[in-house]
Amino acid sequence: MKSQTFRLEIVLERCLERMARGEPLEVCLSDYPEHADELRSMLQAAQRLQQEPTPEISPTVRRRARAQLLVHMAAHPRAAGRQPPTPAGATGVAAVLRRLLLGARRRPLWRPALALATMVVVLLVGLTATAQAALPDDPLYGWKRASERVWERLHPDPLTTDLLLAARRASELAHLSSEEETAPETLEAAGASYAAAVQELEQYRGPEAEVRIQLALRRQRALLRAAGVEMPAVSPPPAEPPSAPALTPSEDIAPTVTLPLPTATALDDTVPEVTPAPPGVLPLPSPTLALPAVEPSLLPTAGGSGGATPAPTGAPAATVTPSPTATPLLPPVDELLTPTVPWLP
Amino acid sequence: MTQRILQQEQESGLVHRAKDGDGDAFAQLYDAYIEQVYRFVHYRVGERQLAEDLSADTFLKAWEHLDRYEERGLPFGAWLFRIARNTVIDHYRTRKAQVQWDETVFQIEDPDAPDVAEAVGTQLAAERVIGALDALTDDQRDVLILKFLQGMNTATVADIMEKKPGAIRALQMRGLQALQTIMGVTDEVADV
Repeated sequence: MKSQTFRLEIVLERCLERMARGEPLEVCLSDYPEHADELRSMLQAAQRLQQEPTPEISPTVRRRARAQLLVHMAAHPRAAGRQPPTPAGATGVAAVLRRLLLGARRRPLWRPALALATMVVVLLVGLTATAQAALPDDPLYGWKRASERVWERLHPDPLTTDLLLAARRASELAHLSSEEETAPETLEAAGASYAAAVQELEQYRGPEAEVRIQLALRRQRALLRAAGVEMPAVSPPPAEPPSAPALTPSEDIAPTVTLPLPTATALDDTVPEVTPAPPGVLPLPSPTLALPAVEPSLLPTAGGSGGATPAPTGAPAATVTPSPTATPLLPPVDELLTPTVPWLP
Repeated sequence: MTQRILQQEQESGLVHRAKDGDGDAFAQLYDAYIEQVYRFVHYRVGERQLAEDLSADTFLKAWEHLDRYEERGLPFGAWLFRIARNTVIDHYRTRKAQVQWDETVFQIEDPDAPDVAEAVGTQLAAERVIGALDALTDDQRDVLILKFLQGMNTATVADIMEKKPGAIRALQMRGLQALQTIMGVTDEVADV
């Protein structure tokens, strides 16, 4: 019975739709003969309703009512961007999202967004600055290393950056080793970090770079030694084959000038001796960088733009005139020894 | 008076402007819907004056609560008819007008009013239909008015009445059955 009623509702709806499209009543009834009697009375009632004259509001009343509405709207203005009241119980993520979306649509949100962005930037800068003093067992140490990686990518002088980073690792290692409560694994990790930083320096070649590296490493060794960190001995630099045939002294070659360069021997006088590490100390790497032996005759000469290149035949390539105003290729030793890492103790 | 028909995009733009406080935009929505709202209210209350009051009240309420309307599948017209329907229900519930409308608006003589004969004929016809509709339940009456006197489809009526289409179809069938019976009786009385 219920299903029959439901079917009749559906059939009635279909017939009403067909009649609305202009189909005659009888055609629709013929399609549903089993419901024809019931359908006929209902469809006729619907037709009678549709044929009733429709009441219309008079234009004058409508105009006056419109004017009254305008007066009312002027007297009760709606605030632009007024937020809809939150329905009772509409809390949680959905309600917040809804308010945010509606707010974005009706009200410019750039001000709070700008304030939020500024706060985030200030927070990041402050966090980064604070993190620079972090040690490997500090929570901010990861942030410090991340900021260093950004620094490495952005700094125009990679050698300076790597020297500073190696100095930082040495400083951290010295700090940790001077603290009694430092865990052995932390100390070991710091040593490994320092070793890695030193290893990074091996990629740089050239007299100036090697001098700077050598000086920095000696300073760091001194620092670590003062902090009680024993390091393995510095291995001597491997003997490099001569890159150019040795010059045979010739009477035709003008005498060369020896610039007042710091030599390894001279520096060694100012740096404590490096003693071999006993078993059990931190496995620090042995820096293999060292000043190459520089032939006095290959050193740059005063006013010379490369006139000292030896010719394979031993013939005089150029005549180098000694000058008292000769400019050395490398900066003075004092300058090189000046600490470049201000935060190093 | 021809009724302004708004395209959906145009209506949506007017609604947005009205929500931002633009009274002119809301006045255009009034122009588009006043006839339909008045017709519905008139069939529901059966009095011209009261229908005008309640129609105007419908638009005042719509203006006041426009921020509650959200275009999420519910056309603005359907939302407006919900307000009109609730306004009529409230009227019968309280039996007093809810709006302090300026009486002078409606007490001035209307030069556009139809002539007496036409007005009486329309009124009698409407009263006859309204008289028959009065015998139905409120829901049945609303369904028949919205579907057959306003020409809306079942889905829109369901939106306005906040019911499912199946419920509207059921109300439609029972309402038509009852109406046919009532109008058949009144026809017989009229013939006598």
